[in-house]
Amino acid sequence: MKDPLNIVVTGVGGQGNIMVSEILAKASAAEGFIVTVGESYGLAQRGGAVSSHIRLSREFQYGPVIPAGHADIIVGFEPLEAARAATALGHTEVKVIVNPRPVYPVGVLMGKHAYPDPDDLITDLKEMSAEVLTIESTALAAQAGDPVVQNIVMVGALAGSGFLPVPPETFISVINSVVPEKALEINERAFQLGFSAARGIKGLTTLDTL
Amino acid sequence: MAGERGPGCGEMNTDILIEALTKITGVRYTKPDCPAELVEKLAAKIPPRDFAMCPGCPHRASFWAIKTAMAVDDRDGIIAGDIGCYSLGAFTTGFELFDTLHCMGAGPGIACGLGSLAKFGFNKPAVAVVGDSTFYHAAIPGLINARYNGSDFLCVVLDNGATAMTGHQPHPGTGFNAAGDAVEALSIEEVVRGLGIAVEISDPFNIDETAGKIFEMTRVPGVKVLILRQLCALVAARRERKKRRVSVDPERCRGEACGCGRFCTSVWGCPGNIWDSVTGRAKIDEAVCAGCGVCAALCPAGAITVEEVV
Repeated sequence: MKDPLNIVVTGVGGQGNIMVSEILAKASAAEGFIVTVGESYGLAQRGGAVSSHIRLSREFQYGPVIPAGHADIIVGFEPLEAARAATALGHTEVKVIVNPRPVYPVGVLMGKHAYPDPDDLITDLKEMSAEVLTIESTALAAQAGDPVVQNIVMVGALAGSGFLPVPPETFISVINSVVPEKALEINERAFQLGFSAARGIKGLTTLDTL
Repeated sequence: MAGERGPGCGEMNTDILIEALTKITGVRYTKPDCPAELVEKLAAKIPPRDFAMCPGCPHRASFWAIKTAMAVDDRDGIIAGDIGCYSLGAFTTGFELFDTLHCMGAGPGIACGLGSLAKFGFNKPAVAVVGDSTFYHAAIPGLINARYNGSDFLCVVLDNGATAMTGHQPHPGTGFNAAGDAVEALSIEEVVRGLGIAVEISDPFNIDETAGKIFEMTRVPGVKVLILRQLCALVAARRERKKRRVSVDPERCRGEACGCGRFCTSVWGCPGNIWDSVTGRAKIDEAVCAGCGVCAALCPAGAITVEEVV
């Protein structure tokens, strides 16, 4: 594994970004990694972009901010924000997991700006990265029982992608410890749907070892 | 102040430090990246993501009620804003409602001054807009001053039960103190009554009633307080799942032909209201909608329906 392994989780306020950074950090720490998390939120909660940096190492406690060009994995809850992160932090070897469903910026809703075709964004992302997994996490979350658990679908997809040396059981036990008890079942379904979707794209079954 | 080794002032970040350290130490550093033409091609397509009020935010409804009341009043009222999430009232997403925005507590101060100018022939109504946290923190001195000096203005308190902008810290109206212990909340209306100022309360989600109250109160002399009480959408979402499903009836939405100028998306600006460019009709983003239902009351075609979900 590259060390440090730098993960960017990016999306829009309210998509559950902070919970995912907590899950990734706890799951990686449970696997013995030294983990540092940096988050940008604040006013971003009001419809703005929210981005978390999670840095894993076996050797060193890295600073909380990933320098430009040093992201290894981008988990994008929204295609525009995945693209924004890739242009600032990506490099040719970056791996991207993206939810293709747009959350329109207020300027787009009001007709001031145009939202690019999400398929075009993903084509561009593919050109400038090593691998892009497109996961319909909002639709899969709805299938799990509630569109808001799209963030957990994306965690499942990351676990299924094999991009991160953390086994699915570790993710599941961490998810069970951070989500409210009444939502355990729906979150586990969401995780499994994301996991299978990523495995499907990679041409693997859920039984293949990572 | 900028030197060869980096800027002498301004924000410091990892990338500036890397550059400075390479110059100081002579260590070579190559930033890993993608071919510039690919980055530029993609970056050019990415629109900014501006700040907005949350889906179901009561401030949006409060702003619309104030705007409506001022339009009916037709005296070109002056709105003095203050500091909080509702500072977005100074920008497009807050309908550019505010005429002034300074420091915390400046709203009632400025409105107090404007409301003392009648003797010079100034006849515009003045309205100050403050949040609940700002009320306790900085609005009370302005109200005391206004009451004592006989100024004429309306102070609207957007009481969403939260210090929302900075992360939901407890304030004297929340019923929790700084240590997180449950304590008796201080009532805004009792504080205001104690100052000898008339106070009324309205639900901003009831826009017609709220706009009517604002209109009436701005026509009464003296300093007045109107509390617009509705829980912060983020707090409401945490406390309970939404109980209402909002949807657009595509038969009743007249699209571009309506004449409303796509009101729900281009003017109202709630992230829950989206435009379906394939069908040319408005739509609700169910993953985002908080179920407040205010857009349904405002849609001129009556095309938005609200359904109670058990």
